[in-house]
Amino acid sequence: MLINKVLEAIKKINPDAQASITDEDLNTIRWENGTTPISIADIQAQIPVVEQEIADAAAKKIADKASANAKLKALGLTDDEIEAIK
Amino acid sequence: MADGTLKVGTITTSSGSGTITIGQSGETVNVSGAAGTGFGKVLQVAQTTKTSSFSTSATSFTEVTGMNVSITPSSASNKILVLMNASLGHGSGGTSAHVTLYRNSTNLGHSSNGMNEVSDANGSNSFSGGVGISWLDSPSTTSSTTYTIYARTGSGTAYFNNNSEYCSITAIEVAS
Repeated sequence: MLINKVLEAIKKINPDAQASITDEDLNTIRWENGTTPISIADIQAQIPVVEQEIADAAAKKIADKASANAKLKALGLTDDEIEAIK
Repeated sequence: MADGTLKVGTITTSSGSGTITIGQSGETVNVSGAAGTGFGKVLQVAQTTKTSSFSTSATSFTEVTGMNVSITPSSASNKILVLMNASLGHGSGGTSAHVTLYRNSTNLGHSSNGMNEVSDANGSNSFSGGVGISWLDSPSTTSSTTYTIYARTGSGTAYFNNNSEYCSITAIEVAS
C-alpha cells in the first residue's frame, strides 16, 4: 500500500497543505507552494491517529472479505466457485 | 614502408586544420596502447544513485531530493544523454504522478505533464510502476550543468522510489 504517514498526518492538520519528504524523516519535510509550515510536534501528535486508521482499514478489509465469503457460501457457492469469481 | 614502426610525437595536418585519415576502406585500425582522451564518442559519464524514498503532495513540479547529477561538457557543441530509472506511484484517491527533467532551472519536459507519468485509469486505486527518462540534450555550454529529476502529483500523494529501490540518474557526454 502506498502511504506516507507523515504526509497523511500533515493533511489531517491542513488538508490543503503541500509538502515533500524523504522516507518518513520529519527533519526532511519541505513545505511546497507557500504552505505554512506546521510544527514537528503537531505532526507527531497526529501520526498515531494515522496509524490507527491504517490498522482499522486493514482490519475492515479482512472482515469485509470474510463477511462476503460467508454470504456467498450461504447462497450455496463452493470455495472453488467463490475463488473463481474473485 | 611495409610492416615498419613510425615513431613520432605528434601528427598534424599540413595546413593546421582539417581531418587526418588513418587507414583506408576495408582496413582495420587498432589502438593497442592505453585509451587516451578524445577517442570515440562517449567522452565522460557521471552518475548519482538514490536509495531513499521521496514523497510529495506538491501539485507543481518539485525537486526530488538527491536525484541530480552534474557534468561539465568539454565542448559547447557536444550533447549530453541523460538516463533515469525509478519507480513512481500515487496513493489511493490520487489521479496521477509525474516526473520531468530539469537542466539547471529549466524544465526540459512538458510544463505540467513532464516526461513520464503513472496513472490509475479510474483514479480510485493506488498505482505504482517503473518509469524512465532518456533525453539527449544540447546544453550549448562548457560550464558545469546540473540535471535534476522533479516530480509532482495530480492529486493526493506521489511516491518516488517508494520501496527504497536503487534508482539512478546518469549523464553521458557524447561528442558531436
